[in-house]
Amino acid sequence: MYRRTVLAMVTGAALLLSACTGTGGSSKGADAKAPTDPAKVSGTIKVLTVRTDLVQDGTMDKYAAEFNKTYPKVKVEFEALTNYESEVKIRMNTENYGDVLLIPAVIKKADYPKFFASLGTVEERGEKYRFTDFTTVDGKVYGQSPVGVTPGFIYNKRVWREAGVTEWPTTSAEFLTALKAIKSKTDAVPYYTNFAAGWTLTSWTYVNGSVHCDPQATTKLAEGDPWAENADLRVGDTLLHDIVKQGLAEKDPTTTNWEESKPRTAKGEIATQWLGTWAIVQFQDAAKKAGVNPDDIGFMPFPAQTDGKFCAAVAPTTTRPSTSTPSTRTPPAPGSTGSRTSPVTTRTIWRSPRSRTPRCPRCCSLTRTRA
Amino acid sequence: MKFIEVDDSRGADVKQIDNQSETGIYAPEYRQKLVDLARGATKGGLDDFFADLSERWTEAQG
Amino acid sequence: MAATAQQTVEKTSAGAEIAAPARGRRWRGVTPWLFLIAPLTLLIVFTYAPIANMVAYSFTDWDGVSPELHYTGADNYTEIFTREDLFRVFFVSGYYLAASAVQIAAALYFATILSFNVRFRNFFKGVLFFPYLINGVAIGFVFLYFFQDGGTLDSVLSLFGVHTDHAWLGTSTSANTSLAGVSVWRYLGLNFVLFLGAIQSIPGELYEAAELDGANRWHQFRYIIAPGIKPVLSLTVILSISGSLSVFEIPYIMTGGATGTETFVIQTVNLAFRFNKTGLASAAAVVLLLIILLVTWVQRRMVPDDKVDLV
Repeated sequence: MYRRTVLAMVTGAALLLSACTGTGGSSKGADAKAPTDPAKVSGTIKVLTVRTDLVQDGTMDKYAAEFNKTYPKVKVEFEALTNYESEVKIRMNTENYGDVLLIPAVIKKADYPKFFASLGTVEERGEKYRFTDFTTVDGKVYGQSPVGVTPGFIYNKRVWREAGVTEWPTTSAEFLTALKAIKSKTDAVPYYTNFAAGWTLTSWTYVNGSVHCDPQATTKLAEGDPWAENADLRVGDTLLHDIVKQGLAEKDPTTTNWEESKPRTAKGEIATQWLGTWAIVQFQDAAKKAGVNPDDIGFMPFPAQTDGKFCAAVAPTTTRPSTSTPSTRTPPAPGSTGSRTSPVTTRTIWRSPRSRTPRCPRCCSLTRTRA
Repeated sequence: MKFIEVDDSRGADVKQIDNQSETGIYAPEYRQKLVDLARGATKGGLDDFFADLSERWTEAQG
Repeated sequence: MAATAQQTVEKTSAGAEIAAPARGRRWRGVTPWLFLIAPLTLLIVFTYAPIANMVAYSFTDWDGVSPELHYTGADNYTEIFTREDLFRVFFVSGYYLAASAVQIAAALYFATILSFNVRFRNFFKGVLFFPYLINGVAIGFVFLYFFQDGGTLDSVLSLFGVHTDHAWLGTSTSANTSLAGVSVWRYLGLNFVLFLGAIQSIPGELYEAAELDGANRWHQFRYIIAPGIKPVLSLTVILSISGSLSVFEIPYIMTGGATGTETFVIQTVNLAFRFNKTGLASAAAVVLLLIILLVTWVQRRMVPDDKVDLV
């Protein structure tokens, strides 16, 4: 990659003629095989992460210590990046992108073998871990998601109770009726779009799968029309449209403020926001800071039922959006981890066995915060 | 309450279609346009809005 | 002995005289380049090399990360010129163009006034120039609060008894006007300082002579200041036009291009980093560069840069 850039600087024409060059090295898509005797493996591995907080408070060092129990001679270094996605995107063009990292959302799945070493086949990984298909290319798995989340509404239970709504709405129409009740019976803003932050609106894409309880929803996106009548995205987008159209959202969406919206929701000035399980902890923290009851923060699924049941699609954080949004507003949240060919296998650090992947939304949310 | 895992074997294709069509389902712009439309800041109907999205999306599926 | 010594001295000094001009000439030839090495290196490494790179990418389908890229010829350029939606964003530049007209007029007005003897003139100079020194991102955030519902602007207006209840960034027209207003506030100081410098370089006697001939302030401006600062004025106009075409920071921070405030540069950034069409985005950037060069050329042809001779 570096060579190519230099070449391009010297003469653009030369680049065009030799337009197809690789990252070089024979490590392309190699398998990261676990060494037979971990005690003998030595060297240094560098781990890139978004969790500046965990590096600072020493949690990551505990992970490293745990890792060193198996690989005593390997030194683990952590590098936490506040502006992860955009910084790592640039660094992917160099050789300096660490040994274990969160896969930046920008990298095409088909390109995974060019950047990462495989962790194993989908059959063997799938037995033990969740979300393997999100990082599978040609039957080999290139990353492992440490966390799963489900989308849903964060709402203020007290406000909803005051408005007389005690049951989760089961259809879009019921949901709108509930918001109308909130508008007429309380002072709260029924729904807050967080329009200005932008990525908050992106969460609406994750209605995909939840609306019709369809595990093949993504395949339908690829093959069908997402905005066809009654398709998942259309149902979600129509609900958002109707909320705004019927005046149930904030008055001026263009100047919304994400950070402020957390304490305002906690205090009951805002009744509802469409986000995901990852947000619960942050809103509870905001409640504590604002001196109100954190138990007022509730979480409900998309108002749709299949066979009389609500449905929520659990997804790894890979698909979490927000590439290249201004870092000051939203730290990007890329997802699963990939590992490059390194002297050791990296499974230990990022292992997230099936049994340990949290099943209830509340637990999931404990594992990640968003600044 | 039921939790499902959505099969992502076609996830890469979806991203490819998304980029190709410049729809940006994993980006904020199209929903900001939707909200603008809903609150009357831009003119047009919801059906036309969806029709335009569908057209671009299916064209990119090509 | 003394004579020999004398001779030797003369010889050596004669030899030195012959050698010195040659070496001196060589040094004189090299010296400017030595001074230029640092700026030229910086210029080439950080300006021309990236531009060359960008032009090269504009002929490929590179997605920004993939190690593979393919030569696609002029496909990207064809796409840009055949998709009218990519050019529609230039309408937004119209708002900023109109704003720069206001901005130049205001800057000229303040520069003229403050070039005369006014009380607190240095204070006012500082006040006018200050916004230019603030970081654009900070300005974006400050004005986000300013335009908020019930924010600074609304509270100030209500002091005067005006209760508008207007969502300043709510509609396309209102949002673009507000953003253009912010940009005027920000860049007024720069234009002002340029004009002030030009005005102050006009010799003081001219004003005295004009006053003796009975010229008032307007006459002084019309016949002394305006012709005197013409080169700076035309430079400012070029900068304003190219600036209006390539607005980025303020709308990107404040609205992110929502509600019809998307500019050509924001669109390019989105193409490159949102949809990973780095090749197409590079081509768009090249097109913008060419448009700006073209506008500048046309303008220079229309308003030739004559030598100004006041005295």
